[in-house]
Parts: sequence; C-alpha cells; structure tokens
Amino acid sequence: MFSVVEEAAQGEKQELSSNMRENERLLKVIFKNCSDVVIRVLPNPREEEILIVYVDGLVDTKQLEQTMNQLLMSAENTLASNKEVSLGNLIRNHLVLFGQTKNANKVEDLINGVLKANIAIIMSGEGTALLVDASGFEKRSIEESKTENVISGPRDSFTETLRTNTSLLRRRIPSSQLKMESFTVGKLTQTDVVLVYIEGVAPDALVENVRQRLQGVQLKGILDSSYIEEYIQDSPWSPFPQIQKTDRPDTTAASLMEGRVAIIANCTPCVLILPITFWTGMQSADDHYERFDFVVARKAVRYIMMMVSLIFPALYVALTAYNPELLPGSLYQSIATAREKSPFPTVIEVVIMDFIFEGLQEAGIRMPSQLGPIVSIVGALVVGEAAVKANIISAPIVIVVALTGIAAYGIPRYGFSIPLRLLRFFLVVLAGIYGLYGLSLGLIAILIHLVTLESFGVRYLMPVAPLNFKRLRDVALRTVRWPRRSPSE
Amino acid sequence: MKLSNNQLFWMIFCFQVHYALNPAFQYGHQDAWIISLVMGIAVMLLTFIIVKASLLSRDESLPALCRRLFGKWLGSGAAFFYIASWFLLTAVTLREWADYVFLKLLPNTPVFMVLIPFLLLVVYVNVKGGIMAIGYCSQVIGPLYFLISFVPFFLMFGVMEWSNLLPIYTDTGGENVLRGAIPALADVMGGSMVPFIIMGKHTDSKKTMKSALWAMGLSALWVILSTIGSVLVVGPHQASELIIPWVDSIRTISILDFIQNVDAFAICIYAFAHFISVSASMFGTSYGLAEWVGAKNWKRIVWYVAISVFLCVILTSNLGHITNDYRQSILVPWILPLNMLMIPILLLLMDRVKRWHA
Repeated sequence: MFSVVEEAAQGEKQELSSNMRENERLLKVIFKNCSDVVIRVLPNPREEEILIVYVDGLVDTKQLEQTMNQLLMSAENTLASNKEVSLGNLIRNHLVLFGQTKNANKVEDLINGVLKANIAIIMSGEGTALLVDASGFEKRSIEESKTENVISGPRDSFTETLRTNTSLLRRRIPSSQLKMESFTVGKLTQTDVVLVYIEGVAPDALVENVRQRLQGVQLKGILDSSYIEEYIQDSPWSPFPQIQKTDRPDTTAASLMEGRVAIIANCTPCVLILPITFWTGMQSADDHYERFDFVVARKAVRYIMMMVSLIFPALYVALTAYNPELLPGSLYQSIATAREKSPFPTVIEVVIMDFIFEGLQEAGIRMPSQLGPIVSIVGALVVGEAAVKANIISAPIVIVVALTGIAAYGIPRYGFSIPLRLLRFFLVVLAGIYGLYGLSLGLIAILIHLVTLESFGVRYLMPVAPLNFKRLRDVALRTVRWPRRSPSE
Repeated sequence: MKLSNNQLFWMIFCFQVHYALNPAFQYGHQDAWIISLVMGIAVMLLTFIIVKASLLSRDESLPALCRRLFGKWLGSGAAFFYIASWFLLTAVTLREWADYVFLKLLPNTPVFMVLIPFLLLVVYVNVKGGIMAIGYCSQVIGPLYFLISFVPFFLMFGVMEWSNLLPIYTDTGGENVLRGAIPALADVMGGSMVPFIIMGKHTDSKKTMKSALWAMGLSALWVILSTIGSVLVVGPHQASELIIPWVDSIRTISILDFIQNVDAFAICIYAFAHFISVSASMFGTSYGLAEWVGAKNWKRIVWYVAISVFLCVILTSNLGHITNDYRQSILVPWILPLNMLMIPILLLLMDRVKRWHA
C-alpha cells in the first residue's frame, strides 16, 4: 500500500512518457480508487493509440462523444488520402474549435487540468498531453438574492460558478479598466480565486496589499470565501466584520466604482469586498434606487434600530434595577407590578430571555421547512405567554427582547448584526453590575475598539473618526443626484 | 500620525470645567456670571500664551524643549513640574469622577470598584492607540458632550426665575470678582494644560492656535451660561452650597412629563467626557515621564502611572474635599502662576533671546 502511494507521489513529479502504456499505468496508479476518473484508450484509423482521460460529471460527455466521433470519422478520410499528416496534428487542429486548449508536458499539469474539467488527450509516441476545456458540470441558475432583499433594483445574484460571477460584473462594467487577476488558493482544493478591481480607481497600494495577502494564504482547502476572509483580515479577534460579504453583483459593481476591491472564489456565491467601515453595515443595496428623502428617513430608522438592538436590554436592566427614578412614575409602577412575582433578578431574566430568543432563531434556521411553524408556536405560546402567566418571566422582558430582536433585523447586512447581538450580552452583564455607569463603561470599551480597528488601512469609524465632512454626508444622508445643467442654461 | 485640529478641539473641550462654577458662586452669588465673564477673558489670554509656548516644540518633547531653552538642570526641573502637575490632575479628576458616580449613580458601591474598570479602560486606550485613539474617541464623544452641555440650558427656560440675577454687581464689588475669577480660571485651565503642552509635538497644522482658542472659548462660554442657568433655576444661595450646582439645576428638566431626571443621563455622557480627560492626562503624564527619564517604552509607564493614581485616589479624603484642597493648596498658589504663566512666558522669552543671538 505504501509503495503505491509513494509511486503515485513520485509519478506526479515526472514528465510524461512517450510510451503510451507507461503513461496509462502511471495515471491508473495515481487515480487508484477514483471511480469517477475515466482513463481509456481509443481505437483509431492508423492503429495508433489515443489515451483519453477525464473526470465523469465534470465534463460535457455528450459534446465530447459527438466531437470525438466527428473527429475520428474525418480523420479516417484525411489519413487515408494523406499519409504525411500525423494523427496528433490533426486532432490538435480539430479540437482548437472545441474550446480552450493547452499542452501539458508534466504529469502534475495533466492531473490538475483533468481535475479542473479538462479532457486530456495523449497520443502514442508523444510526451505531451493536449488539455481541452470541456467543462459541463451542473450549474445553479442565476436567482434572486436571498440574503439581501431589496424592493427596487436588480434581482440577479451571484452563483457558485466563478465565470458566471465574473460575467455578471463584466456586463455591468464593460471596461478594460476592470481587471480580474487569477490566483489558485488551497493546497487540496486548488480553488480559483479572482481579485477584481478597477485600475486607476482602486488605490494601487490597496490592490498590492490584497494581492500579497492572497498570495500568502496557506490553507489546505477553501470551501467558501469566508476561509479567505478569516485569513486575510486585519484583526481576527474583533467581533466586527472587516470585509463585506455580498451575493449581489450591483453592490459589488458599486463598490468597485468607489475604489474598493472584490475577491471572488470558485464554488461560492459570497463575494468579498474590502475595505469597509462601520457604516457599510447600515447601507442597503437599494439606498441608491429609491428617492433620496425616503432613504434619509429610512437610514435614520436603521440607526435608531441599531442602537436599540445594542443597548435596549442593558438600558432596561440599568433603569429598573439601579435608577428607577429616571423612569416616569406611572411607567415604573407598571413595570414593578409586572415584575412583582418574578423569581429572578432583572439581569438574569434578560439574559435567559435573550438566550432563548437566540436559541429560537438558531432552531428556526436549522429546522426543516415543514417543521418551521412549530418554532413560532413554541416561541410565541410557550415562552411568550405561558412563562409570563406562570410568573416565571415578567411581561416587560418579553417586550424588551422581542423589540431588540426585531431591531437587529433592521440592520441591512447580516454580518453587522452579529457583533451587536454578541455585545448586547456584554452590556447587559455590565449594566447588571454597575447600572447606567456600567452601560457607559461598556459603550466606551466598544468605542475604543472601534476607533482602533482598521480594515485594510482604512479606519473603521471613517468618516466620523477621523472626520471627513464630505463623506459624512453619505453616512447620514444619501447624496442627491442633481441634474447637471448645460452651460447655455 | 498627528492629531488633527478637529480632534484637538474636541479633546480640549471634553476637559471638565464643572468645578469652576464653585468659586464663582462662592464669591459672586448672583453675580457669578460676571466672575465667569472675567474668567472667560483671562482664559483666552492665557490660552494664547500657553499655545504659543507649546508650539515651540514642533519636533521635540516638552522635557527636551525645556532643557534646550533653560539648560539641563533648570529645564529638567521645569519639565518635572509639569509632569507632576499632570499626575496630580489625573488623580484629582479621577477622584472627582468617583464622587460624581457615588453621588448620582452608585451610592452603595465602594470607590475602588468604581475606579478599577474605568482605569482599565484608560490604560486600554493608551496602550492600544495612544493619543491618536484618544483623539478619535473625542471626535465621537465631543459632539455628544457639546449637546448635553448646552441643550439643557435652553430646556430650563420654563423654570428660570430671572429676578434671581438682581441686584447686579452692587453686592459683590471688584475685589470679590477678582477673588472668584482666579480660582475659576485655574479650574478651567487646569485640565486643558495637558493637551496644550503635548500639542506641540503631536499636532501638525498651522490652525492649532485657532482650534485651542475655539475650544477654550466654548468651555468658558459654557461656564458663563451654566452659572447664569444655575442662579436662575436653584437661586444664588443654594447654588453656592451645592457641590455640583449645574447637575442639580438640570434635574428640574422634564420633557413632556415623560423624560425626567435628565441629570442621570447627563452623567453617562459626563462619563465619556471624563474618560477623554483622564486618558489624555494619563497619556501626558506617562509620555512626559518616559521622555523625562529617557525610557523607550512609554506604554509600560502607563501601567505604573495608573497604579500610582489609583492608590492616590483611594487614599484621599472623602467626597468633595479633594477639589477644594487641591485648588487652594496646589492649583492656585503653584500651578496657575508657575505652569500656566511664568514658565510659558519664560519659554517664549528664551526662544526669542536664543534666536536673536543666533
């Protein structure tokens, strides 16, 4: 067993032999127990041997069969009439029409080509393989984005196919300035990764920085672009995302036009965009497709919801447990009456309810769709109503947690609601210990973290800290596209 | 990287000037606003002198500047005097803050429990990002502090008793105005000394003077408005008895009979502003000390300074005493004439003399 493995490893480093049978034997050793790899010798008019290697399922076998049949039939006639023409040249010339072709002299190149949906054709007496791009695997069609819903604006979203994704961008920005640099990342997966940017718009230093980081990725395999995200981000310990993930081509194209860069990995619909700031999380894709006055109002609602999602439970704990004098008398009376029979301190109640809410969300995501309504029933009736009636949990807590949960979904980008959900617990615990003072301390700690955080050389709180008035407009408002008047006017 | 003018402006504005109200009320009662006005004019003059002096050190630290202009021993002494005063200032500001929290938010919590998390945050911001991180934080906190400083004045219009301002001047007289204005001036200028002196090396613009004057002008304006507001709301005699009269004044605010006790919310914003002032003082002390002793790693010194400050704070006397004691025995007799007036003027003169000779 060991010797076969060793022979395979040795064989990969070799050059292709001119002896067809030797190549066939070596490939069969390398692809031992790979039932999907087809290694077959084809008959031909001149009794020369043709070795054909491909991965079943990755290549378009119907087209392959049709092309080879045509090829061999026409070859029979040509070879009979012209003895000087070699079979190898004939095949080469014919298959150029089929798709992208290239030669491979090393066994390693041949293997890589075959595993990436090429057909390898090796003629006896030649130490070179012809690799024909014949990808024909199953693809998901372009569908509507499921993670970033919009009311107006384009509906298409990225798929798992790299070339489909690059074409979606190219269709939006048909300019030669749009560059797409290819990289291969992942020792085992050999994933194709494309770095996209607009030359002259994206800063050279940024492009070079990302290029170097991509070249330095040392991973066994990449199954999703998130692997790259974790590897190249500045501060892995920060709960805040430093790279934006999107499956929307319009968002990506807009980001590219703003001078940012995108990373597209094969087999994943999530495209990475960088650098980003804190305010990126508050922007929705359709902000630029709606009327600006409506967008401004909607943005204000989002910012309030963001604050509610972060501090509301902690504020409730601080006010009810430490500083009830801040609440209007009648309101506090209602809360106190509702809390009268509750066995837990406020902070424990909030933590329990928040935890249950997070658990319900997690269950809702994982549960088969047929069982989905059960989560709502369990959540609404058992936790929401029965627990309150049984005096285990007080009613205001249910209101607080429900409002907080809804507020978290007001944040347009899912990745940005996650740190707020995590930090909410941190603030609740601090408020439980120190009241309003604890809440202030927690907010200061978050602020220090945010002002010192960077995303690829850009300060995370830009343009608030450091202040940039021109860009600040786009954070709070949406710049109006006033019609340009002609000089005569 | 160097601090921008905007960061410097907010940082200076965040320095606490609440205790400047006390001497104004003590000597002026209903005329406290006249004392504040005189103090405001003096603040602008003093700011101009100190900023001029601090801008002499564009490429060098304060100890290096003092040594260059005053000679090795005298210069080291002058620089040490600054560093020692910043250390005291850090301790006093922290003590004041602990008193604030004790009085308004956590009356049953021991002082050390209030201070430890706060000091840890101060150390964290210094070690993580130094003066730049403090500058960035002040850009977020500063505008909030501005709102909570000035907006309550307008919200109190309904409960203001304008006859509280009468009679004007006759009860007070020029002598009392001066006696009140000097400690008020020391209180307003006390904290801001730190960014003033460190600004030379850490800012990079010609408009530094403008930012400093605007920030100090705004602080002085706040003192004037809050003395007027406090007199109108709680009355001149009660205001002079209170430890923090302004905070007691804004307690009267009620928005639509729903949001009451605005003072507790204001204290949360004051927590942010205190954080900026203590962090900047801590930076000045640690960085200045490192330069003074020639230590390479000033961030390590932050820990030593933090522990020393903590010990000073928990060993000092109780509530309210520290500010008066510090003002009467250190701030007014020593720091105001030496650190704020004499040394800056001498630095400017020596620089002129040296240039003239060169």
